Amino acid sequence: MEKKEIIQQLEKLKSIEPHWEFQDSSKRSILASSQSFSLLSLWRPLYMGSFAALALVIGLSIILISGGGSSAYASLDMGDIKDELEELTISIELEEIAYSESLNEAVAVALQEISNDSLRHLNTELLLTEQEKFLFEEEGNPEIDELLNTVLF
Amino acid sequence: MKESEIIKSAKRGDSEAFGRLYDQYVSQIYRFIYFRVSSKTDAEDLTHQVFLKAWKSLKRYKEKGHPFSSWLYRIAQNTVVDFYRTSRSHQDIETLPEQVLSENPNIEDRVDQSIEVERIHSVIRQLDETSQSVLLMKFVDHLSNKEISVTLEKSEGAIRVIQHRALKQVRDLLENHGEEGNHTTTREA
Repeated sequence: MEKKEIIQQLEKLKSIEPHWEFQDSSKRSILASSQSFSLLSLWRPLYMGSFAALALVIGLSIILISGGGSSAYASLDMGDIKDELEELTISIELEEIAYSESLNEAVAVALQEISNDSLRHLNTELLLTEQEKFLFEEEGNPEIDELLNTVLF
Repeated sequence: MKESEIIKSAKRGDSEAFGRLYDQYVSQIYRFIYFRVSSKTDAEDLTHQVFLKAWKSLKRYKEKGHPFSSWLYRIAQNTVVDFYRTSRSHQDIETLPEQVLSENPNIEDRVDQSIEVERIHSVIRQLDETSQSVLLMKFVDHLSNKEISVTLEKSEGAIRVIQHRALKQVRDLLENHGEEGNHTTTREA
């Protein structure tokens, strides 16, 4: 079958048409309805814009109130990270200096205490004197010895 | 009056202008829908919906170098999709011969034409939806490849390929259909 014949066959489908009564009633019905332009479609972009703005304000408010915004955003910026690192190094150095100062002070105080005579408990001679005193006292009380002998024997 | 001027008038709310557009395109939009729903009643309902939507949203129509018919076909396409989304229990093809008969005054011509139309229609229905649309738009409604490509959202090259394949399919189907018809006639004789 030739292409022309097929096309001729297809063209027969043109006989399929809507009934004239339908055409007439449908057209009259459509044209009787107002071509009203929906206000909703006009305002829709405004609605969407206002919702977006509201969401943005709420989001920013939450960030500002929580106070976590600056650190969160700073962590994303290389410049801020560098600054933070430099600040960290400085603070470590300052802490080391403070520790060294306190250590030196402690050593000085210790040396002063050692050289001081008031701290007799560290003096060997004093300790020996105290030991002798204890030995003397350990010789006992005769009354207590007598009472003990009475009880025991 | 040029079509673009008629459209402008219709956009301004001139119902008479829109009536002219309706008269010009109602048949081809009806056919386009009818081939998809295969029911006269549904095709009429959906055609009405298409033109009602077009009338209501005409102010939003912008001429971008595409013909007005493409815009109507797009509305029709979406309307048919919505129709099948909501209900898919319509396969009333029986109305076709009756419909064709009602258009023709001579009884013999009417019968012959009815049989011919039914034959080609049954063949077309065996093609996929895109091929059906391409053949219908190209050879029944005489749309250009550009108009068809815009409507079906395909390139003009793709439309040419679909058209070529669809014609070949129709030829094969018609030949088989003819042979089956001859076999039937022979057996009956």
